Amino acid sequence: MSHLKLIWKALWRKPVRTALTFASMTIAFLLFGLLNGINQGLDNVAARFNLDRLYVMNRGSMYFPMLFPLVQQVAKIPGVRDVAYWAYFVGYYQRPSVPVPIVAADVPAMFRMYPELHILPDQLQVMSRVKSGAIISARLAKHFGWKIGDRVAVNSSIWPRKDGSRVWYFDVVGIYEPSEASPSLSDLFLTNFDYFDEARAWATGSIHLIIARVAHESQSGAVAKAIDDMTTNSPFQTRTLTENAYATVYWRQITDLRLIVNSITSAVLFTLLIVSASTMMQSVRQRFSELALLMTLGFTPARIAAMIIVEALLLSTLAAAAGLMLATLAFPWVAQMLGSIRLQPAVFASGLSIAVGIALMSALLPAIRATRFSIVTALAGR
Amino acid sequence: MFSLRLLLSTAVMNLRSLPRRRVHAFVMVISIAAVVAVFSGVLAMNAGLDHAMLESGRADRAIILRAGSTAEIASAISREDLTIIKNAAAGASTDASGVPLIAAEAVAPLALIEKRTGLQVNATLRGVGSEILAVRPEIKIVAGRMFQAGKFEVIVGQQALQQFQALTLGEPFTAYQTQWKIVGVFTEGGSIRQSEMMTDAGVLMNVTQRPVFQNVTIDFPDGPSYESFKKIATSNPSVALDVYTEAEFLHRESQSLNGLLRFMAYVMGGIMALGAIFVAVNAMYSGIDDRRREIATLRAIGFPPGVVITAIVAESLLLAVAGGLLGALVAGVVANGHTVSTAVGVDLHELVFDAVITIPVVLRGLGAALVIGIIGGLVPAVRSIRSEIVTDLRAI
Repeated sequence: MSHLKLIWKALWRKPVRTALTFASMTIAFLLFGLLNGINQGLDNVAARFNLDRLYVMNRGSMYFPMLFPLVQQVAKIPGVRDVAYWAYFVGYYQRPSVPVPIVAADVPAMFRMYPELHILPDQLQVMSRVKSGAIISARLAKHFGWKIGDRVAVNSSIWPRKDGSRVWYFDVVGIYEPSEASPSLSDLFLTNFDYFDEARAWATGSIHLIIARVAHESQSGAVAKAIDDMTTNSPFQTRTLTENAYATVYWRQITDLRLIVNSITSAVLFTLLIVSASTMMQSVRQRFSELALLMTLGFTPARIAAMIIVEALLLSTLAAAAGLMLATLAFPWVAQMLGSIRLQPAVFASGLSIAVGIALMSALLPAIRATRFSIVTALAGR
Repeated sequence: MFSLRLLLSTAVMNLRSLPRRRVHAFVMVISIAAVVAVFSGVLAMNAGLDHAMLESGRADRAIILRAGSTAEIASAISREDLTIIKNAAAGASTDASGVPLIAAEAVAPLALIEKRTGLQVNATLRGVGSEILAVRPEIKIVAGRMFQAGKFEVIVGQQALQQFQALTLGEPFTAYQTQWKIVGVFTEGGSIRQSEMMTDAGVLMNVTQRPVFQNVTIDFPDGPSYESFKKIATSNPSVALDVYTEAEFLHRESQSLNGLLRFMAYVMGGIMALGAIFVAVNAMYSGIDDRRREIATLRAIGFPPGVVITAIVAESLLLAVAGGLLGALVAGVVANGHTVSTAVGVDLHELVFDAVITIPVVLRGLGAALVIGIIGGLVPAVRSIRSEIVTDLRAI
């Protein structure tokens, strides 16, 4: 106990220096927390992909159409348990520069397909009764200030109505919340396909995406091939991807930026090591006479070394704790920039182990030196 | 000037004792170098993106899409729309024989394998007419020849040739159930179109069974004629069009990538810089703390406080510049010329560009270093002249 007090006093021997070192190390751990949080968050998203979900789209582009009967054909393929589908609406709100991610879908099937999207059952019920209904994500609701019961007027750049108008009215009947980020689904404005299909002026029956759930993920390769083979000789050839492959493209930009994230992380850690090591070296060198005094009082070199290591550990882990705490506070804001990823608990584990590693590395040389100097010279203050 | 001589002698004296404080100086230089390296490295990528966008983004070239098209590929312009657009474009530039410089383009995605990652990505095959060379004079055929109208022939951008598998000049490849032949390689002054391929518009519309154009490009001689065209085209009720200058259009495409890069450079770089400021203050403070007696002596024999402060800040700035140059050097070696290949736009088509360390990038990096250096020196310097001379003179 008294040891700890001694170490604590030694740490704050030069309060300004220690405070500044502590501040710079805290910032380093804040950065580490944010960057590692981004990295692990992306890994976490990737790990949660449901490999039993398949995405069927036009071979040419996800913006080219397929025809509705394909949904029924896909549903009949052995191994397919459930299907959902959507058509892009390409809508905008008030001005063309304000896009709204509207899709026309079999809405109950969508929520069956994605149990990770939470919706109240009554709201889903209302949706099937109200033809012009819409279920929107909580984020969209917040962004546009839409509430349940609101009637929203949106324009479609592609789809005029049969009456010639380009303005569509939808009634918000439900708001869903994704439990975790899923590719492109965190932010949808879901409307009833039947209503949309009846009212649009042209291309009736065209859809853009079919999502199929296979009974077991081991079948997904075979089922994907069966779907693509089935359409080979049709005018609408398909490309079927697993959720993994589908999302890889979607997260592409961010994944490509991992290189940057990793370079910044290594630059930060390198600087952190230098700062910590130089501080420890400095603080030990300045205390040689004190350490010599302790030795004459009977402290063994091993004990002195241990005290130096504990001092480094204390500084580094406290800075890590403070930095990671700041990172926790700042992360939601960062995550919003990158799509909804969450700070994983593993980030704290890696942060603290790095703190321990840095402390040990930076205390090693000073600890060895402190056990090998001449007591007499040190006491003489030379 | 008297005080200038004082200042010089103080600064020189400070620098002479620098080797004694080499550890502090080293830590400060390294941490500033790390900030500048990260900052300029990311900004170099941003500069590369801007470069690719600016090269092709001329302010007097109009890009016309169907209103509300979130991606170029989602746009659709029929031949009737094209006629309306042509009629509205009376002010367009003309070639030598008086034909207005208007190009209608059809765009089709092309699933290709990227060499570096082995990933299947969305490359772009662009259907154009022979007028494209007049509308886009930057296009240069650097190998082979231009495609012939009506034939299954394509020319490939130089970046695309390097980036994607299975593209070789003179060799065939299959897409849209059709065998195409690569007959030429083009450059376009570093523009993003170099990661695309081009063929005859009519041929492309046939094989994709999409008989519409996706954009119309019109060259205008100046800004006002573009503005008056925009007014006419967007007020025509029979066709809903979005009219952009090419610069605006490309900015829209690269917005999210730009945002991510800026976020990395300024937010992450900014936090790093804050950390480096603490390190710098610490290093300078420690250096001054070790020299308390020297500084107190200077003050005792009448050196004005301004001289003492300036000399300390000068030293700090010198170290900061050293760190900044080191960081710029590291960024230059690591990031310069690094090829970035990623997906942009709502339809996530492939975009390839090289990071470039430009003069403004280096200057911004050095600027950051100088700010860190000034704060790092100023804070402890001001503190040092506030302390009691007598106490400091007794300090060991």
